[in-house]
Amino acid sequence: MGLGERIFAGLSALWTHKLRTGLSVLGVVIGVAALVAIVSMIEGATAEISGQIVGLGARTITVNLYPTRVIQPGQGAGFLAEQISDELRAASAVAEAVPISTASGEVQVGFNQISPLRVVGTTPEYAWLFEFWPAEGRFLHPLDEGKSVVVLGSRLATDLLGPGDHVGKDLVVNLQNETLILRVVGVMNPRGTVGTYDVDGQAYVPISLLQEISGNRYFSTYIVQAVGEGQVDEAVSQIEALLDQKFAALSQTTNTAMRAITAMPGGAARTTTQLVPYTVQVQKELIQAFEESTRTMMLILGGIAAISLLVGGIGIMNIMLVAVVERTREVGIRMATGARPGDILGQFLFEAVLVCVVGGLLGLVVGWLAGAVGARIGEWPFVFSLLPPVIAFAFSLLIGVVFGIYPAIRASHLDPVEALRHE
Amino acid sequence: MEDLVRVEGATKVYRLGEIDVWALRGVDLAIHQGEFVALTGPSGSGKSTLLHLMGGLHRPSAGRVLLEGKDISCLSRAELARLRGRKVGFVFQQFHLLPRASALANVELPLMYAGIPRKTRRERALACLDKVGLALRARHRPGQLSGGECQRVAIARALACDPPLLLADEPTGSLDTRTGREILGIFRVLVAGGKTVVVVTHEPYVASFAAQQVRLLDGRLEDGDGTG
Repeated sequence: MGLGERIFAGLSALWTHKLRTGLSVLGVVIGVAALVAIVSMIEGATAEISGQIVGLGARTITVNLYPTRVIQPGQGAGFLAEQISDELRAASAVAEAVPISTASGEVQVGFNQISPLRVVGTTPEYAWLFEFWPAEGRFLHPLDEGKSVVVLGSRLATDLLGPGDHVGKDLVVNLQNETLILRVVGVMNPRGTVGTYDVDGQAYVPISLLQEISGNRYFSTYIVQAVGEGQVDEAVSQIEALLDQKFAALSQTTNTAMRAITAMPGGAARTTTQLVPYTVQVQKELIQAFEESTRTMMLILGGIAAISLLVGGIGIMNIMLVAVVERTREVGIRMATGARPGDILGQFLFEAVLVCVVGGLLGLVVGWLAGAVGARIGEWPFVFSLLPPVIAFAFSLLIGVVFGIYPAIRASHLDPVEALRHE
Repeated sequence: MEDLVRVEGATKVYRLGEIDVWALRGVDLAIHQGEFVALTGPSGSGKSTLLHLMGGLHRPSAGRVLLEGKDISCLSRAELARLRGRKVGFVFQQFHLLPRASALANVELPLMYAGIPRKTRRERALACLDKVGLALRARHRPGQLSGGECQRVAIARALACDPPLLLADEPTGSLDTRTGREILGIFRVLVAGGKTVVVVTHEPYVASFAAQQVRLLDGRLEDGDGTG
């Protein structure tokens, strides 16, 4: 009996009980669809988020300082923003270091309407570090220091000023209870999100301007770029050495600081922020941590989907057992006309596998559709990978064999004479 | 004449729960090639069991069954299935056709299990249907055929693999006498063509068609001599 004939015979046997077959196929469809949708959605979300993290660059190191944990306000002239970035930049494995300070304010739109505004204070090197270039006008310049100029993210520019030329226009901005008039000198290219920053929706001002407004001369966040991806670890240890040294110098003047630093040397400080004077985060570690968490999520959700597939498989076993009883006489007829036990086994097993494969293929389509819808809702890319179809096919085949074999064995063990007498 | 079937001391015991039911208590029988034999006896006398033993549907509890000189009593289930497909054709009182398959597909069944390629299978099945006068009804399902026609399809199926031995269990039991005679007429033609036919029946007119009669009573041959 050829494969085509087997498929035809199997399909026509299944076709005689359309509703019953449909329901058992549905069980497999739901299981496979859940599996495929989950894999597809997790892959899409992973691609999106790791794309953002990678967008920040594998060479990027984020340094956060918490000087107020060890010094009183007003102390520590050595923590001036420019001084630290110069010292970080001086390290041999560091290519670039820029301070970042953020502030929330409001911007006046029209006569009396205001809208919230996120302002990033930084230095001109920011553009080089992120390879983030203006589409219109220019980015910040060293000569802008202290001046009331602003560079807008692409979406922010259109939102506030509409389409067309933006450079040269003025914005009325409220920052820390001060009202400023900022002259637009540039609009950046669209970039989407980088890391957790919505770079298209932010405004960039010289860091010295924010310092002036807040009166705060030491800033907490620095973005550092290592010379190369291979030098990231070296850069991290140089930064840690530098900061350990700076905080140690500070602690000679402050007793409370001493304890904090000796309790938490720099190396351990990288993963915990509790009472630690500084943290140094590497993108690679972020990516690894993220990948680990998505893997766990995939296992948990995939496990749930696999259980639903298992339930579908049990449904198939149940229905095949009923079918064997119902078709006992048919088995007897086939045996009387020369069917070997193996032929009967093959016939019933093939039918179970057929139900599963049909369910698997339908489930694949449904799962892909669900994944595409999920991608649209979640605004991540729909990843069309080879993994879901392979999983779906392998799993449904496996379920068919595992749950079809026992009913098939029972059918093949029937006694021909008794089977023929069966009503 | 050569013995086609030889039954030696065949005993068959069924277990029904706690009770042993003795269907056959030592039967010796020889059937020669080209014979038309009627197995008669009251119900429960073991005639159907004897037929099943000769066709390899059952294995005897004791004794031997030889088909074409070969002992089939201790063949495996798969070997027995092969034997049933090629050496024996069964005809039953209830026809036992697959209800959802056409007459042609029913006749093709033993050919399929014998591993005959599809095209040859179709030709041979059609030829067999033609032999029983049903070539024009090949596409009909059993439900669309009369009882007599169904039994003819069953005979065509039994003939499909061209086996030497045809075993019929009450083949006329579900038919009126006129149709029954037609069916027996077909058997008679087949015997004339060299086939060996064994018919189980309890109707005297059926037995009268057969050249030899063997009567069973309580699992034994009544006259104790079945060698014909």
